[in-house]
Amino acid sequence: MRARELVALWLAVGLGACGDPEEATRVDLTVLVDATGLEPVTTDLGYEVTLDAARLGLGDLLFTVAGEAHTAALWRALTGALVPVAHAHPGHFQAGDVTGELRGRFVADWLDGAGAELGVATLLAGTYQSANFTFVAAGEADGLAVDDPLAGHTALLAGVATRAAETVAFTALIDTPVDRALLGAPFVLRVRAASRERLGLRLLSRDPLEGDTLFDGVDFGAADEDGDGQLLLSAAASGAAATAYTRLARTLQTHDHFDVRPTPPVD
Amino acid sequence: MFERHLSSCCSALLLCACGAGEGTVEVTAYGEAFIEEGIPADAVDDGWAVSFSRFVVALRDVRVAGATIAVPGQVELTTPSSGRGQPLGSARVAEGDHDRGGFVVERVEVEGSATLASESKSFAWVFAAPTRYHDCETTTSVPDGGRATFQITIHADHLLYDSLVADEPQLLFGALAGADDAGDDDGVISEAELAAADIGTYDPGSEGGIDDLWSYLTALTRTLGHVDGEGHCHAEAAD
Repeated sequence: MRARELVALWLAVGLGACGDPEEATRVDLTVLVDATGLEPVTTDLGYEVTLDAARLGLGDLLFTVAGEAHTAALWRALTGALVPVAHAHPGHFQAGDVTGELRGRFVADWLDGAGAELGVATLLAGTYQSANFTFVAAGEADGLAVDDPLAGHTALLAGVATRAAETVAFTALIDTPVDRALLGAPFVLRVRAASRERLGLRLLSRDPLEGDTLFDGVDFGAADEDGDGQLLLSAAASGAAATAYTRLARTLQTHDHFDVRPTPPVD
Repeated sequence: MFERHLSSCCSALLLCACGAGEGTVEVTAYGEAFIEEGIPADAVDDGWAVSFSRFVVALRDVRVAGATIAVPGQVELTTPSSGRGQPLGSARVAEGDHDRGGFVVERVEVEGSATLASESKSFAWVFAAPTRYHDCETTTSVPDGGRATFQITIHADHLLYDSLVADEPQLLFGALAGADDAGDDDGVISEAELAAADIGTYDPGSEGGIDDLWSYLTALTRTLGHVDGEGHCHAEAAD
């Protein structure tokens, strides 16, 4: 047997399980802000909530496959990425192999900025199941004016909550821990070389799987302790407003209220 | 000449993990001093001291070095072991370095008490959240004719973590004690009282639906399993 044939045999035996050539295909897909996940909702406490502002600072949108270790290995080889792994330890509990990304910092505005492009993501061909991103405190570097109420905070949600004769106009300024990741937002798409879908990042006022809302557990009336119909929820709040803020901030940081929805390309 | 060397090289590469000898791998379970002796107040950020009178884990599907090792259905980890842990079982396996071991924790049962100054609370909880720990980060080196140990290490202090996702969470007991204060205040922190208590500023990360302290503690139990001390494992809900 000639040396070349021996090497070929060795490669075939040793690397034969490494998948088809499609796994190495890189596909560029546009990511945009998709507002179709926002709708008026009625919470578990009976408040009908309508949003008139919903903005979020985020960074490094990552796309993950499950059970495609070869794809993940190829991604690591191509990018040198340090792919997070799922460990039995706080900070490392969520699974998923990263094989796509849109790096950078962004401010998503689901009402005034619906349809705006965040950028172009690069993904390896594969079957995607989820997306991750990092919450960031938005600021001037993200194009905000110094006096923008979102500046220095991660999210701004504002709207009106109504229950019977009770109406509360609220503004919530949400802060998140530094480098807090949102892991496991649904993103179901088989990405092929010919894929041209646009990827819509959605904030979901209602969890489509379990039906709970972004504002469940928030007692707007109780939090508006002076009864003036105006409510600011922030990390500096106290009393019932602090309780309401904590609940809303917690819910906003779950993967139940975000997803990435593929939409057909626009010609 | 070159072809013969190349052929030998390929064969060596293909077979390098397959030694001819055998050895014994022993499996133990260890709760460290935190379970055997308790978690002292100076290790807890809000000053509570926690001790366990019972800390039982039900284990199954222990796999090391390609072998499934028969283990008792459950093991009591409060029994003093002088650092050796509780022996669970052993098997003959091929000599060599073995990784990717794993196990399933079927259930965790804890009983004990916590004290802060003159205040005392007791608890007796059963968490039935089967968790598969796999591809654990350790290498079990089995010598030909010798013995090696694969230790399942249980980190009880995780039950006091105030975050499911922070790299450096605080260890707190006050919120758990507060669930009894808000309940019947009989000095016993019950599952019902924990289930009725909002997690407040505790941090469940990206997981939705973890709004009460019982759900939160149950989620924390999925982080207890380690190997050989600090070795991490991939963890997921088991069937």
